Amino acid sequence: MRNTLAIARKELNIYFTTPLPYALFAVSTVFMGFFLIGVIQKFQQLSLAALRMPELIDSSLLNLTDLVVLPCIHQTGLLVALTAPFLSMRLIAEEKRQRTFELLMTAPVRPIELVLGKYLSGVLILTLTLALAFLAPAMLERFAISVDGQSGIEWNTVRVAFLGLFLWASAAMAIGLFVSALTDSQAVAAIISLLALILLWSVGWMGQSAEGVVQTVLIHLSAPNHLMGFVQGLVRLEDLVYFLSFVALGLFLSHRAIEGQRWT
Amino acid sequence: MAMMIEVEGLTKLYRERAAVNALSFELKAGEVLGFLGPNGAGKTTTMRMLTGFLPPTSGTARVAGFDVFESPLEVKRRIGYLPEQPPVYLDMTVRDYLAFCARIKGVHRRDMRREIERALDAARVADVQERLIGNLSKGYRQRVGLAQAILGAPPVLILDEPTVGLDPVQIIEVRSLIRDLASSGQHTIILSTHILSEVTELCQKVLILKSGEKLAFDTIEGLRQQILEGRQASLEELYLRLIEGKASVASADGDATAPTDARMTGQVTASPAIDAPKAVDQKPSPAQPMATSAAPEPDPAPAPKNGPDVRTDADRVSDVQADATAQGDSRHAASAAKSDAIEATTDADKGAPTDNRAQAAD
Repeated sequence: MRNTLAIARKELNIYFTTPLPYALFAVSTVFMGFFLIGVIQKFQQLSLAALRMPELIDSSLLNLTDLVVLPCIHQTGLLVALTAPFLSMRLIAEEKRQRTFELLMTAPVRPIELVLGKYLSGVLILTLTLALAFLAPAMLERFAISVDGQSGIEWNTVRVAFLGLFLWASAAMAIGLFVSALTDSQAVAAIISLLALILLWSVGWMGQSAEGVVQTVLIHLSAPNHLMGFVQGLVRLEDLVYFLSFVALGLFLSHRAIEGQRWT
Repeated sequence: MAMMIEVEGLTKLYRERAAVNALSFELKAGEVLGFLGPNGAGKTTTMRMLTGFLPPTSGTARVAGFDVFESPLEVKRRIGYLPEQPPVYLDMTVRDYLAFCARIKGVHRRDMRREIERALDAARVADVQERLIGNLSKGYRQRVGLAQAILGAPPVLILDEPTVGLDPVQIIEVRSLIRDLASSGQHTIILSTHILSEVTELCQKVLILKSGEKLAFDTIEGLRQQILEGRQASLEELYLRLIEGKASVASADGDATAPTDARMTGQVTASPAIDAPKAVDQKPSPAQPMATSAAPEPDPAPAPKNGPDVRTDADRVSDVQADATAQGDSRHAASAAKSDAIEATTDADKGAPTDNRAQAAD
């Protein structure tokens, strides 16, 4: 436990010495801004349409949570798929390239402690990036008022949506950690985990054109479909199992990869 | 005194090729071993196996009685290791780095501060403790690596070419640091190096490895006795004699085990290096009395034998040399001349410090 924390702490120390997290925060903020502007424009158009044709659109359904914040959070899921590989790529690959892996492997540290420490730091820093997505509902809470004059944000739903985002980020980090454990090249680690995550993100679209069992499998593999449950405010067992099994599998395989390192 | 390091039949195969072949040696607590051999001889591989970084293909290694394979954590707790390239994080400050190392090495929270200060002072890096390691010179990085190795005062220190690539002043500094560590008597040290005067100066014992085979393991004085029959000579000359295959020494713990590899034997008969075993055969080998009953070979004496499966130490030396026979003869001549020259210059300065070291270890 102490070793795990020591390693996580060291990782965070290095992360924040390098410009990487700041660059990622900046890029993430820009993208989230785009997402927010996009959905707010849509919301605006819908609201105008509702004013003109009140008989077609029930304006009581137009609320900021369902039409602005939640779509925004769902889109942030794509941002996770795009940023997680750049946070996870260095975790183990860099240790190997810099020969510091030898230090870790000759210190009285169990491989599992190493894996958990690395993973913990990765998840922490990714969660920190995601916390920026809280800016959107926070701003809306401050400046926007819904039809009934109340605050426009249903915080409970938003929190559940963030839980989903966090689980997706955890899964992405576990996959990235495993890929990073397989190579000593950060670029290779980034590219492979990026491809894997984009595949998980987009596999559902392929499923739409497939048929039968293939379609079922593809749709169940699709990350956005599982994230959607959380975004709708539902904590479903299948979604939990989906994300947590990626976490478990990623950590298990990372551990194997590190153990296996000693046997080659 | 119990043995601090016991290595028995340690072998590492990379596919077919043996990087280290059936290496055995023992070190008592407080001894300092100079680990010599040409590049690619298997020094680093041996060190990595001792530290638990690489698993051996076969054989065992024990540190303070713990098997490297069976209780790796116990072994790792007792070893401070400086790999050839210092394992430093370029994006950390020296102090943060040492704090991290102290934590994963299990230094108690209470002693942490004191221990880091001690390592900073001992390695003489206290003046750069707040700087990023990436901005330090190579010499400083090397010393930071050394500071890391001595954190937690491990009973065993394994240093892989700690002075390589340093300028003369830095070499002297690192060497004096190692000398301090050695003379404290608290550390058993394995030091690999190419600088022979370093070994004369710092070590009581020498282990010479070539192509994964142990050529010699003894005290410097013992080697002198065996190879040169007591004649005063520098370690350089001893080393060149062994490496160039002019002599071979069975070590005190009896390593006359003869590999019977028909393929290699065939190479020997075809090679000009065959004159090497002859040279040894003519005089009764001084090594013979040292070869003990541990040897499975019924008669380890290097008497001339023609059977393909009865092989002497000298044969093995010529075997491992067989791949380099093309330049072999000219190299013999050159090295003989070189060793004479070196002998003249180093004889004078090697005496006193070595003797002191030997006494300290007793």
